[in-house]
Formats: sequence, structure tokens, C-alpha cells
Amino acid sequence: MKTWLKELERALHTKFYDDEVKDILSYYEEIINDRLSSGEKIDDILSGYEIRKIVKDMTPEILMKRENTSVLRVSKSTRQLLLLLLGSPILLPLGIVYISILIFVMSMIFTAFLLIVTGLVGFIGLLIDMLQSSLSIPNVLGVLGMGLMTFSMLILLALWTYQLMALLWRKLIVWFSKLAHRKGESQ
Amino acid sequence: MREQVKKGVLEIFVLAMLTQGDSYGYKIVSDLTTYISISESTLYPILRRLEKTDELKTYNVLFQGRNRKYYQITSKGQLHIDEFLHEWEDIRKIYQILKK
Repeated sequence: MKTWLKELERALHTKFYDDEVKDILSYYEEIINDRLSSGEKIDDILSGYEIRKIVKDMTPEILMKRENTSVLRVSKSTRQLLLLLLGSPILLPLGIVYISILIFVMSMIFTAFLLIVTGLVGFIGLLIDMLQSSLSIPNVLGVLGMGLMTFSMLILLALWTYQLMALLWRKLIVWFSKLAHRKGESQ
Repeated sequence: MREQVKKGVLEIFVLAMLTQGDSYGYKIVSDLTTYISISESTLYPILRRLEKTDELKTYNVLFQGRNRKYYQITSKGQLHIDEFLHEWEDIRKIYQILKK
């Protein structure tokens, strides 16, 4: 049993975090021990379990309940979901839709980043231009004030876009995991 | 749709089983297999889902030198059963009306 549990642990570790692995392992360990106590043979019990299937079945469930609190976790969950969706012919159409929406989300995040960079470069350019210009000080201050306001608006817009897209990214993991789970169950 | 109904019904069966008293994973599966086909892999997500929604709470009991996780239904879980049965009754009534 120990060898089987080690194998399951290894397989689960390739996809899940420590706390998730520990929870699944303790569940199966308890069930196996209880089945042994009720008189079943270890070989009969273990022959009924298929590690690959356990890991595959658990993936949508774990992704649904996982709290993606960091970029690293979101990235890992996205990668796992993509592998799950693209690894099965039944889920492939769902995978294509997911990739399409993901490309949109990534493009928007990249746009938000570009907005900040270009805004900053533009403002610095304006500052240099104003320093070299022959305008009076009140005029220079007026133009710089307008520039600062525009730059602040750009930063706000970029931040809101980023926050909205980051939220959508996390939600997509949950929604598509649910869809994959439902589709997997109905087959 | 059918799968969603099945999943909902399985949750109710698990909760109903626990209204008879606290129980543990293997016993829940064993008791339920008398009436329906359910595996340990199917039960795991149901238990975790019900736990997450506070319809179940858990505690550990030392058994033969190891921990055994017991599941206990909460008032929210009981409410879930009541609401489900109420909805089911409504569906039955509507069906009877439509059949006439």
C-alpha cells in the first residue's frame, strides 16, 4: 500500500500543491485502511484504482476550488487547465475557446502595460520639450499640468484594465474547470 | 442537465445519510452503494464541496492508531435537504397538473 500511495503522491505532485496532495492522499489512505479493516485484500482494493484516472478526475475539482492568490498559482492553474482541455478530444473545442479568450485577456494586460510605458515616455518627452521651449512659465506649467492629468488618467485606465483582466483570468479557470468537469461527467 | 441533477441528488443522499449520524468516508460509500452506484473518487469532490459550503463539518477520531475523518451535517446542510425536497415536491405537483 505504501508503494501505491508513494506512486499516487508522485503523480499528484506533478499537478497539485502540497496541501492539495496531502488532502487527497489522506482521503485514499483512510479509505484503503478502512477497506482492509473490513476484510478486503490489498491487491483487490488497489486493482480497483487507476492512478492516472484519479489524477485526471481530480484536476477540474481541484482547479475549481483552488484559490489563485498569486500570479504563480494562476499561471500553474492555467497551464494545467490547458493540458487537461487540449489533452482530450472531447474537451478540445472547449480548449480552443479557452485559448481564444485567454489570448484576448493577455493582449489586454499587455495593452495596459504598454499604456503605462507610453504614457510615461510621452510625459518625459513633453517635459523635455517644455524645458527647451520659449513659452512663458505659466504656459509651461499649464501644459505640464494637462500632461500630468492625462498621464494620471492613462495610469488609472491601465490599472483598471489590468485588474479587470486579472479577475477575468482567475474566473476563467473556475468557469472552464466547471465546464470540463461537467463535460467529463456526461461522457 | 441530467448529470447536474445526478450530482445534486448525490449531495442530498450524502447529507441524508449523515442525518442518521456522523460518518466517515468508507462507511458513507458502503452505505450508499446499497442504494446507488458510487465510488470513492466520486464521493471525494462531493464531500469537499459540501465542506466548503459549510454544509458539513469534520473532526478526527483516533481509530486503530490512525486518524479517521468524520463528517457531520450542519444546519445549513439540513436546510439544503429541506429546500431540495420542497422543490422536488413542487416539480411533482407541476407534473401532475400537466399530466391532467
